[in-house]
Amino acid sequence: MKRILIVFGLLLLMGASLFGQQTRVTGTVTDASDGSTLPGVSVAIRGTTQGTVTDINGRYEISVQPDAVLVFSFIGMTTQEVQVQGRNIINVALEREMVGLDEIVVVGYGTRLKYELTGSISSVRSEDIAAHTLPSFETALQGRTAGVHIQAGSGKLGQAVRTRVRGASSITASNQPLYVIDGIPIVSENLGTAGNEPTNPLADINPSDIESIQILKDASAAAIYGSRASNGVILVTTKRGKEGRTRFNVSTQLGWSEPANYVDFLNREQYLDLFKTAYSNVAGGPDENYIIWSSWTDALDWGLDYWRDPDNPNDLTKGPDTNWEKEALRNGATQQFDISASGGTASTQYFAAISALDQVGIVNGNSFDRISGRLNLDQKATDHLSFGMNMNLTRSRNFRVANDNAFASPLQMVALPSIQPTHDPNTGLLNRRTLYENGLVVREYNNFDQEVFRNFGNIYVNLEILPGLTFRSEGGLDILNQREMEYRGRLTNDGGPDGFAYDRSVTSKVFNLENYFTYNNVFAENYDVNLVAGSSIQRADFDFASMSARGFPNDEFRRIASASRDFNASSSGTGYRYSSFFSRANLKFFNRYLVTLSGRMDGSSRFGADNRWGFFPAASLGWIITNEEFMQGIPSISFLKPRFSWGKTGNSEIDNFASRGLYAGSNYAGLSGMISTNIPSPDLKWETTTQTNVGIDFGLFNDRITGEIDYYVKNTEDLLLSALVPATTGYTSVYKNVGKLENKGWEFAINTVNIDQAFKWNTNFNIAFNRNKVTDIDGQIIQTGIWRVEEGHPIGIFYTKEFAGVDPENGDALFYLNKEGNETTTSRAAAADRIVGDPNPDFVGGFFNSFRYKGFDLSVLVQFVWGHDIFNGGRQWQADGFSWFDNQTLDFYENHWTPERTDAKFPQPRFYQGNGYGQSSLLVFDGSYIRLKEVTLGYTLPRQLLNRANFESIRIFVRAYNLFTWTDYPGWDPEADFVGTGPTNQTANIRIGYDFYTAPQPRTITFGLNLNF
Amino acid sequence: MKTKKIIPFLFVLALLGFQSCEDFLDVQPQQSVSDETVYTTHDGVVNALNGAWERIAGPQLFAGTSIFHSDLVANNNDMNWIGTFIGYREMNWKSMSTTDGTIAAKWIRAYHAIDLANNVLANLEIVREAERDRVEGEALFIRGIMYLELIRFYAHPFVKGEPNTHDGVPLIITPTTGITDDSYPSRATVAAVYQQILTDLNTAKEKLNHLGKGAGANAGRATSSTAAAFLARVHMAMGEWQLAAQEADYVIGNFGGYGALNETPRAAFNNDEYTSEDVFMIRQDASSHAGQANDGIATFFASLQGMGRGDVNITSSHLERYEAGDLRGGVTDNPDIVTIADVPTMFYIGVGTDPGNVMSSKWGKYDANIPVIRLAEMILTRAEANFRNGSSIGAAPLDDINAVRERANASEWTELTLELIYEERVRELCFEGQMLEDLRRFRKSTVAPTGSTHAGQTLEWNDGRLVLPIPQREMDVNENLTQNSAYL
Repeated sequence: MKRILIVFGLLLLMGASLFGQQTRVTGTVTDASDGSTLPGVSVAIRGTTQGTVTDINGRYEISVQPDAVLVFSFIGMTTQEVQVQGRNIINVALEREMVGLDEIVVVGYGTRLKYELTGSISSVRSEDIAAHTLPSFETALQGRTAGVHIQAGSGKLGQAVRTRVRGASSITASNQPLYVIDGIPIVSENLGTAGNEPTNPLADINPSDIESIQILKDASAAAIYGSRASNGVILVTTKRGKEGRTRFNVSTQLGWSEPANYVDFLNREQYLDLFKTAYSNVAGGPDENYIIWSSWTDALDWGLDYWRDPDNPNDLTKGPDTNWEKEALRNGATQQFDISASGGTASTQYFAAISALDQVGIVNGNSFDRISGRLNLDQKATDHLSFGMNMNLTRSRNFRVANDNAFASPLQMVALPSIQPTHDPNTGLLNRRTLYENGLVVREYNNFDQEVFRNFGNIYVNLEILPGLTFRSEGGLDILNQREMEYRGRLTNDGGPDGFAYDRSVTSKVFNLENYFTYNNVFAENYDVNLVAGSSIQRADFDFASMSARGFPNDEFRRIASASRDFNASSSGTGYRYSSFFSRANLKFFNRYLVTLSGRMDGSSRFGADNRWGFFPAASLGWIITNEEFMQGIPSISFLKPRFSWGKTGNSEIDNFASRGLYAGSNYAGLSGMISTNIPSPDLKWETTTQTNVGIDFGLFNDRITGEIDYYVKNTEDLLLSALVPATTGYTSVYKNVGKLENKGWEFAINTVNIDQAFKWNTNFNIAFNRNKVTDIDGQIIQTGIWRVEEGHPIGIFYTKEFAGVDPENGDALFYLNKEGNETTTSRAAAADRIVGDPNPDFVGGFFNSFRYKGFDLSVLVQFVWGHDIFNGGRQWQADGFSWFDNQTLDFYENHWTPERTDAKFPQPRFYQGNGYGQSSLLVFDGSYIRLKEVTLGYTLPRQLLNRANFESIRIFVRAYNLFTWTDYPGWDPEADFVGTGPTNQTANIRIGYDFYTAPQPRTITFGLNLNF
Repeated sequence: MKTKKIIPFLFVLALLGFQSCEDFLDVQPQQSVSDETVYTTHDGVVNALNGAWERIAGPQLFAGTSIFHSDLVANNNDMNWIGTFIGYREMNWKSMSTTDGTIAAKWIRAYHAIDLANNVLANLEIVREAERDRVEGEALFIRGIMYLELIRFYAHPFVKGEPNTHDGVPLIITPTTGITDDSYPSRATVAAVYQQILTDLNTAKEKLNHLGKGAGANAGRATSSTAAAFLARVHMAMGEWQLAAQEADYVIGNFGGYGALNETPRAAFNNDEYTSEDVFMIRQDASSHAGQANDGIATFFASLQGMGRGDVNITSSHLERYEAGDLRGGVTDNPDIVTIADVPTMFYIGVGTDPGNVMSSKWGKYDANIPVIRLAEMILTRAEANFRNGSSIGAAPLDDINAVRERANASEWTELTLELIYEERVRELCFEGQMLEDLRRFRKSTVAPTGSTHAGQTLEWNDGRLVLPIPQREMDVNENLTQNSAYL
């Protein structure tokens, strides 16, 4: 240490001794695109803390050493370094930052230039995700990258998001990608209670902190993450400070949201009308003898407590008329505030930010807020040694509502008849005599608060051992503390008669250590070599504790200290570990021929002792044809690079102890015992995905048109399958490596600069076609609900009774009796089960246009998902023709069979019979949609106006999300994804396209202000 | 010069992480133990036996659908199913789906209990000698009653005098150690399954003979009396009246005769402790019960303040079965009731989610004990068996029936017919899981209700549609199984 200090001292002295020979440099900084002068540009002397800023005319003046280097930086512009070389006047034209072929791309354990890539990687930059008032950043990626299909669970805030990179590669193991933030794999899986839908730990990351996101799609790109890369890897890089003066960014947004869609249920008059019809259809029918009511009003009185108008007791049309859908959904609001400061000296750079988000959801009772702070520091200790740290602290709170499949779920209020009032007209109190539980009672008395404290921290040391050879060591810690506190009031069904409280805590600790060497050199001018080799360990530990109790003095008391009975407590823990070695070589010869080789060796605690280690190699080739001599004569083709990759990746995202024979504790009313839970599978090993990718990157007309085309085949074998076994063994499944599945598809991404004058117009279009097929699972059939996995078909096909239409003669619901579909029956139970739908889309993509004129910018993002089916489980009751008293949809009311409307879509309503009631393809709909996802209109104030206030830029903008959706889907929202409560990986993988009283996405309009100074 | 010293230091750091890789990857589960350690000690075997006890409770078996499925399938306008669960609705319609979840869950859970029992029986030599008979007896008891559950639901009924070689259920009497070709059994004959049940329960009765035989003996688990009570049910199903009467008589004797009946019929239900009448019951408490939101029998039957879904209504035609004054037919109509303790009668007008309809108060508390066999059933069984057999083992049939009626404050009878015995059983044992067996034994029929695709049709006692399907998940995975005839 002492020696270092002495050296520092000497260096400082040397610097001081040279002060006498300074010269004065002046100049003007302009914008290269239009020649306008740039005020407020930072001009720094490299290696010092000195610097200045350009004035209102873009001029600067600074005293420097004759051999100094000046660094010109300005937000939105590419930083330029200029050697003074004794000059006194230096004028600089700064280029606008471009997303182009020389963009730096993070590839995992290093970076590459985009044009050198041989794998398939999609990039999203901060502008695309910053200042989004979305709880988690993945939803901002929707429609922006080819081959990445992202689906929000519902309009509830903070719910888990389904992300599929090039399709689902597994049946039993997770299909979610690996998330890596600043080099450290983090926890992204649900840690919430099994009693509600999964939540999303990625909501703890502030999107405004993100500099770039890279999605590693093919095996060559992803194989460096070996055993965990089969589902793709999403690399998130946060912002870092740059040398120069402190720059502040302040951004604030205020927005309003509303449900993007209403389904529309029957009002009082329509309800009574349809009920009367449904009753008379039965009363006059063949089962008349079994009718126990004397009239339709008698049946109504038998089943419902409703209100008649006291002045007109015989006129049923008079009385309360409740729109329960409007009670379940509401208008929301959004508020976000971000402030960041970044800058630094040649040796120390920092980025510091705090952010606050507050959202009121459109589902009655749901809201989310988050406050986060980040500090990223980089320190250059010597010429050879640098270190730094990132620290992120977040608190997020999610005020939740019951899961979609609970009577207490707000959306299930739509089942309540419109003739029942929200409040008892006599007492003015909430009506507790509704058909099912009145969700407003739940809203009034229940709460479910989830609070998460999250800390991402990592430190690194970077050491240059020899020129070109560096060693880097990174340690990271991801600590998550989660509390869930629930109270159910005494007047609710789940909380009665004297209140119920539930309290749960989760601690997740993930420690990661990465050590690796990087070697860069160019041999004989033309042989460019980049080598990486290193090791990694990860240790994840999870602890859970929960307690619950009943019996509270009143609803004011919500903590268990005040409970009197039924105390329940539980604690548990689990964990997993990985140990890995990896290596990669990037070779570039004559700036034309590219070769990448990589390999990773992974050990996992999840597998039996003999099968712990797996090896995952990958290789890829690229050829930059446009750098060949013979292409120089074809100026219209500015860039052309075919590439090919092949590699193996793994998946081990299964239960932590899946390979072992296990007994768990059991409790029979105080008698403790053990039950078998898992039959041993000592040979269990990795699931392996072999992916071949052929692609081409191109640039035409001086890169006015650039694009990528990829074709891939992803073959997964040794599927980690929870294979079904006869229950007569005492077990229902065993983990085995059985079978294969395949994803193959095309991806196209095209970027064009349509107009590049004062008016600028850029377009990005991407589309991806993925075909998923289970090719071999040993002839097994996996069925959960109506979802099925069967050989020869995509994962999660709908397999149930097929609705054969309405009998025009009598309005009977018909079902296909046999598999061939040439005979029909009125008996749903007797009908054959058939494949009636496929929830996997034919293609997904996005169409993005941005326009810029003077200070104005406009961007329009259209996102589309096409050719997939949705199973709308809720319609089993929402459109069942009064098999019970549930309110019905308007489209059923208008389209059911009547003697006059014999070609109707829906069967004749029949009270208490359920004509067509039950699960069948009557509930399956085409879910294709095109959505105007995002429209942003911004105005950046002219710089001349700002100078007096010392602002670098001021931008005001208005942004709208989900402005419009084109779809034939009759539910709330085709982007519905109800995975149920406490789903296993397998059920989450298989239950795709499920709408069950699932809330729509909000339509949001926000106004924002962004200041840089 | 500085860096040279740092390099080795960093190398050491880097390598530290891998010093003991294999140890590092050895993570032990915290909520489970290895299967290899279970059957190595006395405690391990006893724990597995206790695990089997936990299995036979639960909403899938005795604390739920063992009771519920029977009464829904056999229901002949005694109750209305008005809930939204399609599986139960179809069961009430007598048009069950092979994919119904509750039908699969019962099958799965019963075989899980059987496998645990088989493991215990295969490892008896590890058990301390002093406890070996008890452990063996309890394990055989569990296996026997599980096969009785399976055969009564998933196979066409046993018919006395016939060879009964039709399909029963797979008969597994050895523990599973791995998935092999033997893991794919076909269905044993009904006769073979009944023979196994008799062997298991008779051996259990003998092995447990050294323990107490009254209410709550052996901590409420199996005793010779409980084994005999199930044997009585088995012999009744097989039409062996004399043996049934003898077994029932054995139980009644051990319990001390009519005097052991609770003071009122209502007193047998919603209890946290044993009553003198409990021959066999499933224990429940706050931390282990059959569930409350979507599962467990109380959930479906109750409609109280903040409790129960109120999915089962009792029909007026059922209430007409009771004469005035019969304590089993009383209805409480009081909108202020909160919990089941506020209901003194066997029926009440629901409050809470299903207000206004008639509910049974037999199942009104989530964590109350579930009576499976009550002394009243044994008395009625002895009466019926004696009546059919023309004997008076233990007591004359009329005395037995009148003992039950007297407790219910019903009028005394002077004459008896088989039909009267049936009706008395319905009054006493309705909604307790005996309706399907009684329908078969008395050769009754049931009419599919409104809503069913065969609404209005009369289904005879041996109609295939009253037999549950073999669960589709089991058919899909084991090609050696055959499906029941109504589901082909």
